[in-house]
Amino acid sequence: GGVINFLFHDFWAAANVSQQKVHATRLHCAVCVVKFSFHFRCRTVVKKRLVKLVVNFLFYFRTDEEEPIGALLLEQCRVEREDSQTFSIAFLDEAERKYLFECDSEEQCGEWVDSIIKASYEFMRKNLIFYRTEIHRLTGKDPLEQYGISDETRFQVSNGLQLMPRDTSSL
Amino acid sequence: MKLHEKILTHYLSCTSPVDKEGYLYKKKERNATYQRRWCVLKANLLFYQERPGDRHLLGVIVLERCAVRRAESDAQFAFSLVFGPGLKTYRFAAVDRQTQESWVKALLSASHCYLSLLVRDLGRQYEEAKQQKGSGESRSSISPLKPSTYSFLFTAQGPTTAAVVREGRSNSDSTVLQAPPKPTKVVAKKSPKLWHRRNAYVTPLNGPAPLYGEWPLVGFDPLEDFRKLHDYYGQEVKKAREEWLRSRQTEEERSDEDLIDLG
Repeated sequence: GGVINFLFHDFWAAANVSQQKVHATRLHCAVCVVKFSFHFRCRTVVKKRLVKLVVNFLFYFRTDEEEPIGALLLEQCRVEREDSQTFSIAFLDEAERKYLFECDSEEQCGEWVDSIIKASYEFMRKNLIFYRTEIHRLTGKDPLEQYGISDETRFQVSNGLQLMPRDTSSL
Repeated sequence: MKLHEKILTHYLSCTSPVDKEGYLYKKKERNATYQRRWCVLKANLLFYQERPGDRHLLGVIVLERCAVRRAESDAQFAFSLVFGPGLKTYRFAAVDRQTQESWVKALLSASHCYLSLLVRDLGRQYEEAKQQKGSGESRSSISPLKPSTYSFLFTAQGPTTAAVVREGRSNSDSTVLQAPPKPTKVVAKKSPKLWHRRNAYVTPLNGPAPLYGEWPLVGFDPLEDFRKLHDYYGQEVKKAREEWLRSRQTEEERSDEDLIDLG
């Protein structure tokens, strides 16, 4: 839809991550050129793309362009190592479609798989909850108290099998 | 630029936590009117639609590098997301003070960067706490995870994740997350076993991220820490609070008119 694209463009402009330099924006950015392919119903289209990881989005560009062609939200996805230099991302809603990324080296491939997994907001949230619980267990203190954010719904501990309580106070 | 909408709508409707949802009025800049929108805050994303459960997504705002400001100049209980000079400002209005406060608070802590720093900080505290506790504490009943043995599903919480096999553990008990096994590197070593098995690399449900030092931090300022960010946000909150107090005084002086155009 046109509206989403427009909104996202502002985010991209605000992020403004250049190839040469990462601004002191606390945005984690990794860049690499990959062969980027879409597997769709036995058809494979392979393109060479510049790929940038910014927070929990994977942007992809034509190698000589500054504006991204597209972006993938890295949530609810499965990242897999396909072979020594290739990894894939599959989204849970599109079982048929897999995005393949062919890197230049094993090491680069490994770094990307690692980075993409860690980029997920939900992954980070789980870790936060884990650390919070463990620190409390080890020290008797809730580490979020010192920041005054103990009550924030987004950081609540759950038993992992339940949904977090939804804040519907505004309904 | 194509933002894959299906991925977004899927994420919106999946079982991962909703951080806040409700109706808000969103200002349409073109004609300066407010339209009621169903807004859902999930992670660092603010989705909005006409109604809850709508197939069609009207838009999503990525909450990175934006300031959240109370702004009462053109509507009561208004707030805005300010991305900076030359970039768009998104304006919203709530129906009452409580709702406004609640949304502002939720949006202030929504960014990926914020969480990232918080996790780093807590990770550090965790390691310190473990060391202080000493290695005497017996956790040897839990063996380290071996990536080649597991097939993890990289999703948010859900009944399926309970099926993840763990040596000597059960997931069905306790509200407190259990102690982790010794963390192993997620990054593939040179072992050929890993590739040929085509395993998905994911996080164990109850495990920590790999050790602090292993997080790839390209371009990250190592001196920046959460405390600084917290102080910065503390200033924002303080400023916002002062604005609110000031506006409370003027609110009483304000006449009783409908400031939101629902036409």
